[in-house]
Amino acid sequence: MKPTAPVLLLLGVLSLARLSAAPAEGLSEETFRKRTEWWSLQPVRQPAPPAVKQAAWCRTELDRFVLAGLETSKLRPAPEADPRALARRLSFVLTGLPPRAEDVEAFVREVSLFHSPTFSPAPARAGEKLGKQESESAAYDRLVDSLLASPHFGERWARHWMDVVHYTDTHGYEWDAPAKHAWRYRDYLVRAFNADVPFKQLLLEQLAGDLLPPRVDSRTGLSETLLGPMAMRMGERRHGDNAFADGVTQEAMANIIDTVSKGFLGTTVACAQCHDHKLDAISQRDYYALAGTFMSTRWGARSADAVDPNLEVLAELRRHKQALRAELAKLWLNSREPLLAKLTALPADEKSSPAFPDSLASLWRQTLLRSTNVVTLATAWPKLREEFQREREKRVAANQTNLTLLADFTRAGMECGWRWDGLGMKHGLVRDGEPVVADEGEAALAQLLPAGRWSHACSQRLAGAVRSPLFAPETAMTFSVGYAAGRHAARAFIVDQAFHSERLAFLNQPQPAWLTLTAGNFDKLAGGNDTSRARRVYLEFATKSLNNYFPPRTGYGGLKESDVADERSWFGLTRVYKHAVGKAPQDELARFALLFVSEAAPESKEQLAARFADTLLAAVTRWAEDRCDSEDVRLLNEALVAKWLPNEATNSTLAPLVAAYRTTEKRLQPDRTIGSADDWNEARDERLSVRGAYTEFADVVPRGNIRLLGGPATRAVLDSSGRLELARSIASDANPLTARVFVNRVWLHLFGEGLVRTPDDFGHLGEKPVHPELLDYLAARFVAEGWSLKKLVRLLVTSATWRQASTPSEAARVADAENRLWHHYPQQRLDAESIRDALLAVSGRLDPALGGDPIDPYRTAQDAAKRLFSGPLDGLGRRSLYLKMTLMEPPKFLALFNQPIPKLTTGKRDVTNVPDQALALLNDPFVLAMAKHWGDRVLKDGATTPEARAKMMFASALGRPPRDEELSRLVKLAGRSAELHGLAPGALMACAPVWQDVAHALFNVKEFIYVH
Amino acid sequence: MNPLCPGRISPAATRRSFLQQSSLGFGWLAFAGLFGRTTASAIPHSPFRTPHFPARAKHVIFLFMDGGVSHVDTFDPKPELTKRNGQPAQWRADELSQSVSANRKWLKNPWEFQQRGQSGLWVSDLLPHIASVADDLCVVRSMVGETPLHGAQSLLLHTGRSIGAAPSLGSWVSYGLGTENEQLPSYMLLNNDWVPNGGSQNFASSFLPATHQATPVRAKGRPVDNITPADPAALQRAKLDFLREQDSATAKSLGGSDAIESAIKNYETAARMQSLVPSLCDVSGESPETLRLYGVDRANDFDKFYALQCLRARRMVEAGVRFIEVTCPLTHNNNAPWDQHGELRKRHEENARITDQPVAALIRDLKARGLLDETLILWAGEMGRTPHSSGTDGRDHHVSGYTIFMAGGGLRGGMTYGTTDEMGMSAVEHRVDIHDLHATILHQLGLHHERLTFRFGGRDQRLTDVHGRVIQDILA
Repeated sequence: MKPTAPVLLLLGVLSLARLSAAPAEGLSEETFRKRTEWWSLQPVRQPAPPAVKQAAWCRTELDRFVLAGLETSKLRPAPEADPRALARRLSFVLTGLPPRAEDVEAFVREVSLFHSPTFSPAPARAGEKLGKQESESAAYDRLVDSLLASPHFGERWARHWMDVVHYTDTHGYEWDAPAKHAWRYRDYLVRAFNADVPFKQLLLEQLAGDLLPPRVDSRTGLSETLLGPMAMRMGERRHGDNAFADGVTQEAMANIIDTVSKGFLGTTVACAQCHDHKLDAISQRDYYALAGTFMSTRWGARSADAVDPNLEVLAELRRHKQALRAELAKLWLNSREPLLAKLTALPADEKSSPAFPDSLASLWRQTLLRSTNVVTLATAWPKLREEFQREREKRVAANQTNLTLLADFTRAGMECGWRWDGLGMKHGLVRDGEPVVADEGEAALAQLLPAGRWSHACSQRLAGAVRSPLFAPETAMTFSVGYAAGRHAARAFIVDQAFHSERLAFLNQPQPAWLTLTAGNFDKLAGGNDTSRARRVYLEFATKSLNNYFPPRTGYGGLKESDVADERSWFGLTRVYKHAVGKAPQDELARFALLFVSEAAPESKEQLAARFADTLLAAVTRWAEDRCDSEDVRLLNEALVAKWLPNEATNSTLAPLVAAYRTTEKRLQPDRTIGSADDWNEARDERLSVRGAYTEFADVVPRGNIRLLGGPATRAVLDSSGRLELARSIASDANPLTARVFVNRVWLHLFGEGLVRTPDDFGHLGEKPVHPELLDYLAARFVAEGWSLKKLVRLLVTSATWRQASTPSEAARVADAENRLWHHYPQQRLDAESIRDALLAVSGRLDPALGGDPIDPYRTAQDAAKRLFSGPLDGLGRRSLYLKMTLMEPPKFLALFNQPIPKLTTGKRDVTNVPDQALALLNDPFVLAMAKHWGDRVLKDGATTPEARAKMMFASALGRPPRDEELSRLVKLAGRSAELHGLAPGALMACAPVWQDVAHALFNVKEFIYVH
Repeated sequence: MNPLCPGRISPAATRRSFLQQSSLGFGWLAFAGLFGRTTASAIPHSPFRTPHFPARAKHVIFLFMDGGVSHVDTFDPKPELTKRNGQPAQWRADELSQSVSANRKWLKNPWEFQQRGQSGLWVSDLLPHIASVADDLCVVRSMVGETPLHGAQSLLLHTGRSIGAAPSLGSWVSYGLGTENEQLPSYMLLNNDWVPNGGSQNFASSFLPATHQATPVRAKGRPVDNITPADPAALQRAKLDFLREQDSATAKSLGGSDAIESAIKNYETAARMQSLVPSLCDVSGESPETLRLYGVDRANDFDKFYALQCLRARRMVEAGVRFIEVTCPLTHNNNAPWDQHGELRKRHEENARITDQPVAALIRDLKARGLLDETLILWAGEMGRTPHSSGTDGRDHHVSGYTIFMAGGGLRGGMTYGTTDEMGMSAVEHRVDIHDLHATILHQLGLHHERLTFRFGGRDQRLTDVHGRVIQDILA
C-alpha cells in the first residue's frame, strides 16, 4: 500500500497560524477571576436542611428549606390541595395527560379511608397526625409510582427536553429539508426517560455518543449512543456550504454553541461570537474554542443498528443465491448451441468504431463489419488481433505509469483511511463474480459484481456510505473511483462540514465504470469568489438513507417524490486511483485475450462464433468454479446485457429460486439511520473572527472547553475534536452548573417556575435564586442518587411544598405576590401539547401508541415544493409529540398555545392569553371533531338521564364531579341545545349533536386547560 | 452581526407585566405614540419613558415583492447597460451579486424607461399603472443588503436580522403603537397560504408578546382560520353564556385569577371578531368603480385575489389596523414569485400584471379618501436582481444596490433618493441599509428606533439592533 498521507493532507494547526492578524487577548486575569466569583460557578454544596418551627408540615427535607423561608417572612404555606386536584395535577405534570375519572375516584376512596373529616392543615396533635399522614402518603406514593412507571412519563419529559434542544423534523430556511430521521432521536429520549437512564449519561450521549462505547437498547437493537448527537443538529440549517456563501456552517455552529451552552450549562456563550461577554466569565476565545470542537466534527448520517437485525434472513438469502448460482452455471454451460445460433443471426455494425470495441457484443458486430463484402475474415482478423495487442499493451503501460492506488475496497482493511458505513456495506464485501439477484422484473440476475464493497450485494434496501479523508485544500487533485450505482445513490463533496451540500450529484451507472473527480480548489468551482483557501473537503458516497441531504430540496437533480418514497438505493466501490488530469484508468481489454490467443484466423462466421462462445464459456466455467476475475465478470455482464446467456426469471428451473429470494429479501429490515456525528481525528483549531465577521480573522484559538470549565483540552487529545472531553466536563459530578441547571428545569416543569427564574441563564444577566441552598441540596442529592430523573421527580412531587393548594392566603398574596417563597402551588395553563392531548384523551380518540414516524399536521393549504403536506385532522389520535415539527410551518394548533418556534433553545415557554385561542377552541375543526367523537361515544354510555350523563362527562373533562349548580348549568345547556336542534322532549338522550354541544362546551371551560 | 446575542431569557417581572396586558393590546400606547403626549407616568410598565416625536403616519401597508424585483428593469434606468449588452461582466468581490453560473454578460433592460408625471420620475413600461402615480412615489435606489440569498434577506427585511429569531417589523409597530381597534389584531398579513423564504418567522412576534404577531388573512376561501362560527348564533350564545357563568364561578373559587378572568374576556372579543373580521374582508359593499379600479373584477384568479387583498388593505386602514402586509402569489413552480433566474420577461410581466394595477389603485384610492398622508406604503422585495446574466432572459440575486419605493406617510413624493453606479451594481451615493429603512418607517410613526425597546435576554432589544439612521432627506 502506498502512503496516502502526502495526498490526503490532514489539516494542521501550524499552516493556519500564518494567517493570524491581531491576537485576541480575551478577559484579563483579574476580570476573569472576579467574574468567576459568581454564585452559580461555586461548587455545589450539600447544605443541611434548616431548622423549622412547624416541622410536622414537612414531608421531605426539601420542605424545610421552603418552610424556613416562609417562617422568616411570617407566612404560612397553603393547605394541602384536595385529592382530586392532586390527582389531576400529578397526571398532567408527570405524563401530560388527564387522569381517567375512575382513577381519580379510586384514589380519592383510598385517601379518604385515612382521611379525618376534621382534618386541618394546622397540626393539632402531632403524633396522631403523623400516623394519618403516613397512610395517606402510601396511597399518594402509589399513585406517583404508577405515573412514574407509565410509558407516557417518558413522552412528557422527552417533550420538555425537546424544547431545550429545539427539536425539529425539518431544517426550515428556504426548502424545509428534512432533519435526517430526527424522530429516532425523539423516540430515544422517550425510551431513555422511561428507563431512567442517568441524565449524566444522556448528556454525554447527546454531545459525544458517537465516541462512546455503544449503549444498546435490548428491545430494538439500536445503538442509543449514536442517536444522541442528533440533539446538536436541530433547528435551521441552510443548504449550500461556506465556499458558496461564507457563514453557512458558522451559523449552524453558533446555533449548536448557543443550545449547548444555554441548554446544558445555563450559560450564554453564543454572544461571544463577536465580542467578550459583557458580564460573565466568557471571552470571545471561549466561543472559538467550542467552534473548533464542533467544526472538527463531521455531521453525517449513521446507521444505528448495533445488533444486526438480519443475520438469519441474510443466511437464507445466501443459500438461495448459492442455489441460483449453481442452476445458472448449469444453464449457461449448456447454452453453447443457442448461443452460436444467436451470434450467427446477429447483424454487423453499420459504422466502424474508431476506438477498439469496448464490449464482447460490440467486438462481435465490429468484426462482422470488418469482414463483410470484399474483405474476408482471414484478412480482417490478423489486423484486429494486431490492433488488440497494441491497444492492450499501450493501455496496460499507461495505467501502470499513470495510476497511484489511493484506496482498495476489494479487500477488508485496505481502504486507506476511507470508511464505510451501513448494513449493506457490512455485508457487501464480495469476491469477483458475486451475483446480484434482481428484486423485480423479468431478469433473474441484475448483474455480477467485481470484487469490491457493494451495498446491494444482498439487497438494495440495505444502506451504504463511503467517506474519504480530507483532501488537501488548495491544490486540485484528480482521481478516479471504480463504482457502479443506481436509484439515487449520490456522491457529494462536503465542504467545511456542510449539512446540506449542494455539491451533490445522483449516480446512475448500472455497470461498473470509473468516476473521475477533482477535489480541492473549490475557489474555482465557486466562481472565483471564495474568500478562503483553507476549506475542509471530503467526498461522500451514500445510498438514500445514509445521505444526510436526502431528500434534498424539491426537484434537486430531477428527483421526484416517488423516488423519495422508494427505499431502494445502491452503490459500490472497487478501487480509487489518483492520476493526472486526462489520465484516468483505461480498459485493459484482458477479457478478450482468449479470442486472440491463436494466431490462426477463424475461417468462417461459424468458426468466429465458436471462438466467441468458447471465450465466454471459459469465463462461465471459471465463474461456476468461483475462480473468476474482474475481467470475467465484465465479460459475463456484457453477455448478460446482450442477452447472450439465459437469465429469465420465468425460466422453469430459475423461477422458484428467484421467487424464494425475492420473498425472503422483503423480510430484511432496512438500516435505521439518523443524522448523527462522527469524529475522524482530523481536527483543527478555528481562527477567531473579528467582530464575528466570517471573512476577517485574528489568531487561532486552541479548541476545547470554555475557560471557566477548565479551558482547552490537553495536547494529548489534540488529534481529535475534543468533543468527548467537552462532554465529560459538562456531564460531570463536579461541574457546578450542569446539575444545578437541570434540577432547576425539573423544578420549573413541576412547579411552573424555576428556583432560578431564568432557566437558560445562570450568569450575571439571569436572576439569582431566592433559595440557593435548596437548589444546591437538590443538585447534590440528584448527583448522589446517580442523576436519576425519576428519583428527583418523586422527591419533588411528594413534598408538602408541591402538594399545596393553588390558592394563596391574602397575607401571602400581599407579602409575596410573585410567590417567590412558594406559599402556594401556582395555577398553570396547560402547555400546547397537553391541551391537544387532553382533547384526544377525554373524547376517547387518543391512540396511546409510542414512537414512530412523525405525522403531518393538519393544514388548510399544502405546499408540495416545501413538502408541507397536510395530515389527518386528528393526527390519527396520536399524541402531539408525534406531529411533524416542520420548522417552516410548525403545527398551527400547537403554535397558538405557545409551543415555541424550534429555532433556538427555549427553557421556559411563553404563556399568552389571546382571543385567537378562544376562537380555536370555539371553531377549530379539530376541536369540533373531538367534540363530535365524544358526543357520539357517550350515546352508548348506558346513562338514562341527562344528569347522569352530564355528570360523567364533567368528571371526564375536569377530573372531579360537578357541584350541584354546575351540574344543573350543564344540563340546562343540554336542554337548550336540544331545543335549538328542534328536538322533541325525551329524544335528547339519543341525540348526538346535543352531547357534542355539551362536549364542546366542556372543552371550552377554562378549568379544562388549567391545572391547580 | 450576531443573531444570538438576544438570548432567550427574559427577567420574569418585566415579561409578566406585558403578558398581563396582552389580551387587549396596547391601546394606551397609541396616545403616547401618536400625539406625543407625555403620558408615560400613566402607562404602567411602559418601556417608553421618553417622549416620542409627533407622528406623520398611523398605518403601514407593506407590499412585499417576494423574490426580488429587478431594479434595472423598473426604477433604475442604466443606459450603459444597454450599451454594453452582451459584453463580459466583471465586478469586485465586495459586490454582493450572485452568479449561479459562469460566463457573465451584461444584460440590458427588456422594458423601456420613460419619465412620468410632473416630477419626471423614471419608471419602466413594466409597471404602467404604478408609473401613473409616479408623483406620489419616493423611490430609494440605493438599498444595500447583507447576503444575496432569499431566506437571509427576507428575514433581514422583516425582522432586521438575517437569521430571524427576532420580532417582525409589523410586530414592533403593533407593540409600539398599540391598536386603534381593540376588536381587531393590529398586524394583519394578507396572503394566500404561501410561506415566503425564511418561513413564518418573517411575521412572528418572537420575544414580543404573541398578541403582536401577524394574523394571516387568506385571499381565497375563509379569510381567517377559525373565524367562522361553528354554531348558529343562538347555540353559540348559549354556550358562551354557560361558559361565562361556569368560568366566573371558577375564578371566584380560586380567589380571583387574572389569567382566567382575561381568558373570559377573550371569549367576548373572539365572539365579536367572528362577525367583524369577515365583514372587514367582505368587499361586496364597495362601489363598482372601486372594484374596477383595483381590478377585483379581473378574470384570472391570481389577478383578482391580489386586487382583493389590496382593497382589503385599505379597508383595514380605515378600521384602524396598524400594520398590513400584502404578499405576492406564487404562480409557478419556483421558490419565490419574483425570483426570475430564467423566464425574466414572461414571469416579471406576469407578476407585474398581477400587482401593478392594484398597487396603483391602492395609492390612488387612499389619496382620494385622504388616508395616504397617514398611511405609509412600502413596496419592496428582499433583493434586486443582477444587471448581468449567464443567458439573455434571467437575472440572479443581487443586494449591493437595489430599489424599493415608499409612498404617503409624510414622505416626499415624485423623488428618487440614492444612486447606483453606471451598471446598477453598487449603491454609490446615499447607501441605505434595512436598518435605516426601519428607522425611517418608525420615525414616521412617531417612534424613535433607539427608544422602541423591549427588555429581553438581559438587554433592551431594538428592531434596528445597534444600527439605523433616519433618512432625513426623504421626509416631507
